[in-house]
Amino acid sequence: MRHASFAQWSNQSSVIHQLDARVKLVLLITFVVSVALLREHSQVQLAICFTFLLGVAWAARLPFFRVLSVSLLVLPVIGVFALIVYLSGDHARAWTILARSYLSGFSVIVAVSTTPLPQLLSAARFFRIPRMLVEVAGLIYRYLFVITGEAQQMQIAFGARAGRPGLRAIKASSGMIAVLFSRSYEKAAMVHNAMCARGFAGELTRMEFASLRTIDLALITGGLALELALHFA
Amino acid sequence: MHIPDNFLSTPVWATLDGIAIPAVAIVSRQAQRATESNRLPLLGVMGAFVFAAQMINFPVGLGTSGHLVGGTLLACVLGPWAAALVITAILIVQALIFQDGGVLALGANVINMALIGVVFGYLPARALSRTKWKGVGVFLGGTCSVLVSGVLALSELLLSGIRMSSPLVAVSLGLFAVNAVLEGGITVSVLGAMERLDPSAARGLISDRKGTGNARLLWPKLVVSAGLAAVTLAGLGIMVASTLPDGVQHLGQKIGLPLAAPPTLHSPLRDYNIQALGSNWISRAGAGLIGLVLVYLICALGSHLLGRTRRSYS
Repeated sequence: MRHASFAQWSNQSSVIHQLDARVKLVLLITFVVSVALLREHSQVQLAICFTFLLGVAWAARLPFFRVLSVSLLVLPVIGVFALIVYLSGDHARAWTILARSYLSGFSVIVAVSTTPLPQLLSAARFFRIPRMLVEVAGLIYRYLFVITGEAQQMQIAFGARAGRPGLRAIKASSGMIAVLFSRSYEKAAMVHNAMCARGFAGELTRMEFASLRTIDLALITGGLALELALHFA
Repeated sequence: MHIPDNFLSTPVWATLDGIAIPAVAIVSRQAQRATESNRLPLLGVMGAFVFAAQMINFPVGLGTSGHLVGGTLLACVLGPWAAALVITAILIVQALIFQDGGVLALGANVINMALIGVVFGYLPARALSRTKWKGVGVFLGGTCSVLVSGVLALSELLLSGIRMSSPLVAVSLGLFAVNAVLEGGITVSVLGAMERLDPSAARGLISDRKGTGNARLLWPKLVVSAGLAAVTLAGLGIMVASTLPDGVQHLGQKIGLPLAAPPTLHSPLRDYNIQALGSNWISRAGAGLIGLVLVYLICALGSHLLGRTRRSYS
């Protein structure tokens, strides 16, 4: 699964992996904003951004072709929107939007593949994103794999019983979701008990960040300068 | 409905992000107040549950299938604040892990689905929660939630200067409507199954089984008032109705769409007139009233079928 690959790739020890999550979060957001603000005909700048992301992926020693193939999976989603623009007769804009959206998606993939999501969420918490939102997002990420696995098992079991379209299938699917809900509810109670046993007092312990080092500040400044330079190239 | 990055113009995404940030802060604070600390794992697990539930497809025939979106379901189970927070968290995880929806477009997606979508899903369900029409309320909630989110996404794209032809807009709206009805049906069906399986677990709206005296007294008055208003509008309102073409027709005329082409099917109520009576006030009012009765019958039949589906679990 895609997210399982991200989790696996994000636990490496390359130079990029070791960077502070706050630096990566700032650079990711500013990079996406910068790409969005590029002028209409900016093929050279888009090519530079793509090369830069490939360079980061290479420096992070990510499996190059697998990362590229995963990044191509964003194309069907954005392709539908780009097709709408293309069909409306604005061909140049459709291609530009497709390229920019792909770059945004690719930059997120590179960031998530080089930073464990809990660290990214902690960095978001550092930047005053509401505590509860960050904690809920973290818990969703933690239990996503568990509950999705159960849902897949149910789907396979339903398919094995020759589930066919019709009212019975709709009832069966509703029943599956209800069972999944019931199991999730029980799991939530168990998780809460386990958390209490480990000293949970209403707030999850968060990752403590040290002060930003000079190298981190230099990276942020350099990154912002490069992103700014793209607009004057 | 997840808008990717770069499809919204800078003023649109920046404004929506600017609105979403304080709105999410308020939602988060309210959810924190309304939620006991022991429900924090519940919110996380429920978010994961909605993710997983979205993987379960509902075969709807003609080789297609739909899936649950979950905003209304969460609002019914967790309450609106917690539901909005959980949907926001889901959107963040979807943008980061699945690249479903953009980072800059997160504000737009949060407003469409987590804030306005949940509100429109919750209000009808809450309004009818203490009546015997609770299922209809949930159905309306699910339908409104998806429809409003879809229409908002479409409007934002149009505002951003994405040129879409009128037929394309019509097709998009049609698809949203189909998905919306499906969401309503799935939500009713799932809540019915949940109630049957574990009534105590479904807190909030769906556990509120007993109707209060006030609600019981209010309901017939509401039905009678709405019915009278509809009949008056259909019968008399047609006299003051504009004869100018609507927006889509006007646009079609402007761009030269063949709107005057002969129809494929001949309906007895074509152009809101009873063809047999000619084109006068009685003909138009009669057509309006017949339309009203037909809509009522379709809704009654739909509610009856949904009621049967729900009863089959108990």
